[in-house]
Amino acid sequence: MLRRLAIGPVPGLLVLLFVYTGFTKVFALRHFRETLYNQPFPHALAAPLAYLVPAAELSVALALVFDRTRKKGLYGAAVLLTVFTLYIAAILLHLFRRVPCSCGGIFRGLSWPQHFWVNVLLTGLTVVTIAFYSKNQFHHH
Amino acid sequence: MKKYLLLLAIAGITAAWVNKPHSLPPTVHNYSFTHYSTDGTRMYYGKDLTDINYVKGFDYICLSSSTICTFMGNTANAHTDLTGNYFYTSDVPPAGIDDSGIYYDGF
Repeated sequence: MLRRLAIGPVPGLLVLLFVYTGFTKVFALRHFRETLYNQPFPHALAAPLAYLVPAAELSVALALVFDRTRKKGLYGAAVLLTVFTLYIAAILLHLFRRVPCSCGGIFRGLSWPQHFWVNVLLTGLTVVTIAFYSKNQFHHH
Repeated sequence: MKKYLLLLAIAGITAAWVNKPHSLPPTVHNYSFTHYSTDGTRMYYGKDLTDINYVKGFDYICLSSSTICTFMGNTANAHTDLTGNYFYTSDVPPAGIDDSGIYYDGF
């Protein structure tokens, strides 16, 4: 049951998530760049990240769609989700000078703590799915 | 390739298009009032963000002390202070003073 849940809906959920977040940024690139300028990291990072973040999200989504690259896509998703979760954790721990607006993400209405727990859940589901994939491949070889 | 994943990807693109954020039309925001901190060393400009259709939680966020808000830099809008100088909204610190002139550091 758990295995079915992990292998079935999770890649689909991640495809939906990364396609949505990636294309939301692509369709309103200027808006996303403005959001990045309001984050507490150096402004010099904002311009490249405005292109790199959606590119990474869409690459992961694309990798998840195809059977041959799905495992790589899952690893990519785990990395992206972990990085963003750590960033939110740093905000919540007041490691930055100021608390930025949480308005750039998919869950605009969520506070940073809510964002954090949603990300923890998604990261956990992704890690469990990777574990099941690895086990499945091991038994087949 | 699983067909349902491709369908979900198409659904994601459609949802992203429908929900894409809209930039505000280019305007100039003049900050309408000014305050000095109680020790007189800091001067702050204030404006009712809701007055320019900013939405709490989306365009700006308030810290635990609800009197202090920070807002996202929107380069579609030119921001000027009372002296007419332009500034980046991303440089606005999450600190300020409330209407009674009490200064909050923000952190």
